[in-house]
Amino acid sequence: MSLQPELAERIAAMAPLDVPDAYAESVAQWLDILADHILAFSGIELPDAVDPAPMFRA
Amino acid sequence: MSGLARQAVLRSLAAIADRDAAFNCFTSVQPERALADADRADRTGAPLAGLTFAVKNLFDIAGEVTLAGSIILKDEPPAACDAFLVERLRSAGAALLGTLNMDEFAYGFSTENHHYGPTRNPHDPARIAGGSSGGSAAAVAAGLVDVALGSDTNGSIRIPASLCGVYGLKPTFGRLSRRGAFPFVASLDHTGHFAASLDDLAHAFDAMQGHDPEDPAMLDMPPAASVAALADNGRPLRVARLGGWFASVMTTEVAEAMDRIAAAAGADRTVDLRGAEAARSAAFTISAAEGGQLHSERLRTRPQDFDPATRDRLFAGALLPAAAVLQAQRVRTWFRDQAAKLFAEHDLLLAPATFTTAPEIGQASVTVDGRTIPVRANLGLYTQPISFIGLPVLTAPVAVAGLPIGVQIIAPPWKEEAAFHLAIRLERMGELMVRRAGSAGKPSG
Repeated sequence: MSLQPELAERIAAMAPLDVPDAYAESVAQWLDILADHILAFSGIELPDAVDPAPMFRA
Repeated sequence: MSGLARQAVLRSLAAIADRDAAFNCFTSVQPERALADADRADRTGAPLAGLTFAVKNLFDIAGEVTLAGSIILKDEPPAACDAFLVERLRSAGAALLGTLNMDEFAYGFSTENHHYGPTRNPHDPARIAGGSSGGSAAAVAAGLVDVALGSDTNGSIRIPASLCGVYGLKPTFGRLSRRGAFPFVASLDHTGHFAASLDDLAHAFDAMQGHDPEDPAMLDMPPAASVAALADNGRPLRVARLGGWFASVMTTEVAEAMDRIAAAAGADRTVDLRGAEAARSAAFTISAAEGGQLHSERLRTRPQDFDPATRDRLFAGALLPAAAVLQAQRVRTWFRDQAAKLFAEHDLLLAPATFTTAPEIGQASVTVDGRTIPVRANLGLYTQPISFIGLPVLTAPVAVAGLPIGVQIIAPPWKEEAAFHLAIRLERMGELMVRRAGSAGKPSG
């Protein structure tokens, strides 16, 4: 199913950022590093719920 | 004849004039404000009269533009009032000398700031001071001020405290207000401070505590009585050393310092904080994503005005999928429970603050046991998992020859007093020592 053009346009406008070409290579390197970090915690069995205040409380 | 507070400010101003050019700690010095603070403290006999301090330049000072290590914020209006912690210290009689260098927007561990230059380590000006609160740690180590405010999201107080050889306190998440401190990662940002003595560290901490309903992270907890904790009651402390991830890579100097402190602290058990590597990676992910989102409009409109080292990481963070960030938040809950299990059996945990002593400015990597370890990406190896769940840490300088090395004394949440207990005990044993490159204000020790 394809999105209505108007809706697709609105979603595209929400896309985070366009990376200028001059920075693209360096940004790609950082994305690569971040991907490794995301993989490092992807294998843990975690609770389904996301705690909105996960620090220690009183 | 001038009062004690005025004399302390005059000594600080002279030290800054004499030595700051060599270390590049200050981004602005405000003599008139400092002298006015001092005269008021001398008149009223305020409790912190005679204490001088300065702030990482992400803290608001009334009438000044808060730069947060950037040039992008230069055109913003001046702050209308002092940050909560600045107001607390000034009200208690401390005199504010100015603002201090940092990594741009607090995103870094080295204070090699593209716009304002690197802050140099007072123990060897060819080396970094650490970051992101590098100007703060170096100003205290150089004897320019007694106390300096910093912030710590992933290690930005503990790393420069270690590399500059001063005390640094990152309290429990939610203990000290962040109002008036330019944010980096709201769900991980802590405020705290540096000092050349445990006495100054404790007095400033006690003066800054207090509930601030305008910081949503704060909990209205009874204050930690850190000054009282320095009168060590001699109660036995169950101290363990963190192994596993926290012993995975370190130079010989750091390993020897840790052995020495562990022995002196009676930490004869080594325990594993399960999931520390995952916690560090999740902290990395949340920091990039929240930081990228915070700065997305500036990245869109003024990318050329960022420090390149900051900009490209923020861009990458802004592009992360929401699923990864939510999964990283789940890791926090799980990892918090792992730490709670250890604190059921131990009062304090010990870990290195940094895997190495201060690298040289511009140095890309350190070789440890034949392995090449990139500096910038790894200075937070041992700090990131701890701040990820908001545990309080007192970073203390080990009494070693050569370049400074700090140890993290990690306490259970809201138990900062326990860290002060152990620190004063170790200091009295001669195991901790601040070596200042000069002196201003009160003598250290």
